[in-house]
Amino acid sequence: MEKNPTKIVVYHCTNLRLFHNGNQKKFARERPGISIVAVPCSGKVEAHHLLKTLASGAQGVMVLACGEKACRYLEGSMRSKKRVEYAKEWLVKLGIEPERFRFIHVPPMDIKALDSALKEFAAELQSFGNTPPIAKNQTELTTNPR
Amino acid sequence: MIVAELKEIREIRNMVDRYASILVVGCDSCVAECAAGGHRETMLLAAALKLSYKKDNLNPVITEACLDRQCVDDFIEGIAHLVPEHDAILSLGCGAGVQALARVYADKPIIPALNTLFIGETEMRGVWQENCLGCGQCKLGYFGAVCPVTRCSKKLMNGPCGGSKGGKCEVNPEIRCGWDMIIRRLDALGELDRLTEYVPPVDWSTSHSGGPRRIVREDQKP
Repeated sequence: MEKNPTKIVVYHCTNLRLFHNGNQKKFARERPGISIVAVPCSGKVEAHHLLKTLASGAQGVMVLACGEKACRYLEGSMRSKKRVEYAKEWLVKLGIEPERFRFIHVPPMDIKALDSALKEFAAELQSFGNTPPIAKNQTELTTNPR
Repeated sequence: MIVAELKEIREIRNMVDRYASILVVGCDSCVAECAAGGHRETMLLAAALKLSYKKDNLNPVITEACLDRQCVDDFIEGIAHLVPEHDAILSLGCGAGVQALARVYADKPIIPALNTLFIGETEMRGVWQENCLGCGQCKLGYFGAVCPVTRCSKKLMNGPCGGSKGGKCEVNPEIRCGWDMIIRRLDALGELDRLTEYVPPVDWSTSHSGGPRRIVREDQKP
């Protein structure tokens, strides 16, 4: 097993039907460093989710969306693409490689396409090196009084 | 609503770098509508700051919270339990919100994260337009609900200048001529005769030139 696997968080639209019957956990288990997060539509992923994921220790974040014309919620995929671009602008402002965020369309149920995209992404992230490590005492007290 | 935009991250960092713990506080009213300081932007700025500090191998405590309204004491009290454990508050409220926080939490430095710009409307998603200067002498009734003080670049009260061409302003061809809008709207309403009414000169003493304005209503007091 790889000693320091590249940490990648994948947000995927459940309408892509990539995983069935617990396959998602199995897929992640077989690929150390990969975390899979299912969202009802890629349009639910916002710029702050992407930045927060990176700030929490991920080296890269991937958003998997349906084709723009195939989006069940019509605009979700298109919005998601814009948000990833916006989040990349933030990384540029912060002096971090914008390529750490990747937005891709994959065909429904095409787990092989995801696998090869992940391998390619991991290779690119390794060329960047690690993001600065999070100190142990960095705590989050995220609270919304509402 | 009040329209604002986020300051550059470098300017924010310059102001908050001296603190070991920062409470980032958003406002879910006007500045949320203009996508500058609502809960989404609060989370975004907090995450961006964490990344920015991580990059510099620094590690301040950054906590985020969002109030429904930052300019009313009843709402401001919502973060009272978080304030004592932080060195400073980074506010994503408008200028009024920042100053209200400073009044309520008098012993805490309050740092603005936004530049407050104008009173305006959401023209479409992602586009905000200034349309009120808060002059204190509203004459929209005379001008077809288009404000010459705000929408005319020269603040003319008596018709367009000679620089209006094709409905555009000579100051910037991307700006619609305020007087073109006034005349077209009154024409469409069949109320062009409104422009024959005498409109007295603006009494600027009610505008900001007289210092901070204040309204006191006894019937609203506790």
